[in-house]
Amino acid sequence: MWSGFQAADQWSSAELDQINSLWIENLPESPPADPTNLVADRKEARTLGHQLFFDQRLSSNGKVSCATCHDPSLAFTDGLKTSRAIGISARNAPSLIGVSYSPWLYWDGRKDSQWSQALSPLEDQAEHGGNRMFYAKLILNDPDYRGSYKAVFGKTPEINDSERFPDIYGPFETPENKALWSGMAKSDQFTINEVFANLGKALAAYQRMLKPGASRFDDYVKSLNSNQKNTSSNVLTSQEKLGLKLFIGKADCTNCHNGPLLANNAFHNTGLLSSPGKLPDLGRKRGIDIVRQDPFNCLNAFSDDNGACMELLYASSTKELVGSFRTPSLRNLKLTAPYGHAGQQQSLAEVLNHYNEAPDAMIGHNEAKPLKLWPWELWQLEAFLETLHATPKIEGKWLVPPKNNS
Amino acid sequence: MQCSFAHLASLLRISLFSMVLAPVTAFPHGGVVLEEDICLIKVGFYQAHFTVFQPESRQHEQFCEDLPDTGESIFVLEYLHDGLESLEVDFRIIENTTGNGSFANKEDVDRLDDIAAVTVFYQPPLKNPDVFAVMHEFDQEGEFIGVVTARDDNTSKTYTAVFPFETGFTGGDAQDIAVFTIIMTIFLGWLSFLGFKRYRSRATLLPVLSVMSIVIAMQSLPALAQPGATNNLRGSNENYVIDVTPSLAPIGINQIHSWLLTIHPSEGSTEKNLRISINGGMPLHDHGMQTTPKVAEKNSQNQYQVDGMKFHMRGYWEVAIRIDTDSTTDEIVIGFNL
Repeated sequence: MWSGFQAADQWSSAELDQINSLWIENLPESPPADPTNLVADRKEARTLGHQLFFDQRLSSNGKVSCATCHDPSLAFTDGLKTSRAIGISARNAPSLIGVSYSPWLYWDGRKDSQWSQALSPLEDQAEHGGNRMFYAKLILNDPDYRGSYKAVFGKTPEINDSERFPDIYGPFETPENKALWSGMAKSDQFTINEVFANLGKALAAYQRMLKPGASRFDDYVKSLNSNQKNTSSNVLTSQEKLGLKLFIGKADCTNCHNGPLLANNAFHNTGLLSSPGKLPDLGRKRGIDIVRQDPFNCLNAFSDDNGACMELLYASSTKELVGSFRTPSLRNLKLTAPYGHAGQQQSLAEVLNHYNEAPDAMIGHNEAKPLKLWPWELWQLEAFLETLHATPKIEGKWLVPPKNNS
Repeated sequence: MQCSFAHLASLLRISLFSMVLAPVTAFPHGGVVLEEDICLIKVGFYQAHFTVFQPESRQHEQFCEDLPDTGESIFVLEYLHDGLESLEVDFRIIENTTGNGSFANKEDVDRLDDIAAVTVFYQPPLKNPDVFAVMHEFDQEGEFIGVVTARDDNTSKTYTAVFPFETGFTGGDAQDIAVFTIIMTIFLGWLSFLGFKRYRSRATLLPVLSVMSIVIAMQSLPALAQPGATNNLRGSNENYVIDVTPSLAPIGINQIHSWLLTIHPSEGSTEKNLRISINGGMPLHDHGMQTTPKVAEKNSQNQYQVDGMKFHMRGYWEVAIRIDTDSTTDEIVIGFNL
């Protein structure tokens, strides 16, 4: 009776190519090297980063850690439309799993490395709400941290002279704090910036380990590849296979959601609505301007290799980027709702309906064209997307606070 | 008006789903048809397109005359004429106290004694912003006038456009939807009556589902690009042949790489000073590359290295290589599938 449905297991060779291109086994074991971070893959840096990631002392109220908004049990998201920490953030907290494979960080790509990205939330007044001086003093005056820091970065500068290194409280960008900072000698500013950048580098070393594990979809691909006759496999249901067929076929999903992370990490305008009380978000158009001026970008003094900046050097800043945001990975969607750069969409069904209609964008133009799919096709796609769920490919101890954290 | 189309389309879809018919052509959605573009405003010689959104209450629906609701409204001005980019443009919303209602014009606005007194929103001049978008929250229904002014500093000329509008206006489209919804409810009710009372008892739902599965099975397979065809690319016109050797072979998506262009001028050409520039995009998606490739100096073999090539999507790409000499301009387009 369901003969039409069983046909889904008979893939053409082009379709098999497509399916294999999404397979987790085709994700390189290590994320692309980051020459701008010399400690990116060092064990001691990972351990230090792990400790920093879960440490709530890294905030102005002592209650916010990275894990507050990037909760390991929710694939490193927080389940909120936009995050809540010291205040309310402007954007949705993205998953950190597999992020180290992207040349650009944040929804708007305003950071060009994972270590540089890790610095921003620490000084954002809605997030950790602190400043680089506060963090540098915290780390270098804590005996444990001081030891780990020295083990990773070799030297521990002396920053306790409060004439040269004034205590600064609260966010970096307040007028009073900016004044305190600009009263410092350039070389002392450099010392603090370097410690701050190094904290980002340790945090990045930890986050580089967060890679997706094999999902049911990946098991299905494995079964297809090990089965020469290409006969039916029960790893996915008929409904899910039909969803896969649409995903790599007429739903055009792989235009942007491609590769083993199901993300091209490029920027696209998909016509999402603005958040209440806010003007439409310029997205990458603004992000590219910010990253070019960032003192912690690839071309600046704290990058360990100014010659590895192809992406930054050649990035375009055309008006075409208005309202565009980085394609997110589709792995672990079950845990990462709500969706969209400001959590505009609560459910996968809402996301799929949006692509099915592809309404005009408020600013710029929506690159997506209406899919004109039938309702049951949307259900099939949704069923397929849910097969991409898996636990991260990492030892469990890295997903909880380290034992020595107080 | 757009919204009613969207609702019509989705309701039609649901009803057709119940009847198991072939897909219908969807109604055009979104953008206002140019022929009847009532959202067009003229600022002097310049044209701009005006769209207002009320995302909280009306989601993606677009307005340009009357706004159905009060509350948060976002005005987006899109320049249709490059000339506007060199001008300073400001935007003002005033209460319509002219007495001429929706016929108020520029002269009526000029006659106002104190424009500041009736101004409810003012966006100071912006020169070529990335996006001209402003937000105003209307706290009550009423008649207003939008005033767009463009100033040319060089000539001290000022161009003004005015457009009267109402907020809290409920036009025909909401009623259309209501009537349509009632009809569809009755129709769907009748269908479900048939489906669940009569068909269930006779077990004739099965043939219906079988037809459904056949319809699904008959839907054509997608056309997929053949991989591996981009190890070498070639483009030509009557004056040049260009061979491309990518540093990635075949070209992969999302990977930044270089191209080596070998340019063969046609026989007899003595031009030595070729200036090369390169650009690319996806014509079917209406967008360009997300990098700006740069052409390095040529080497002895008429070869030019282009750095910063990156293709961020699957599908059909075109790369245009422009060759300028002191007297000629050629553009050679190379198309390929990724």
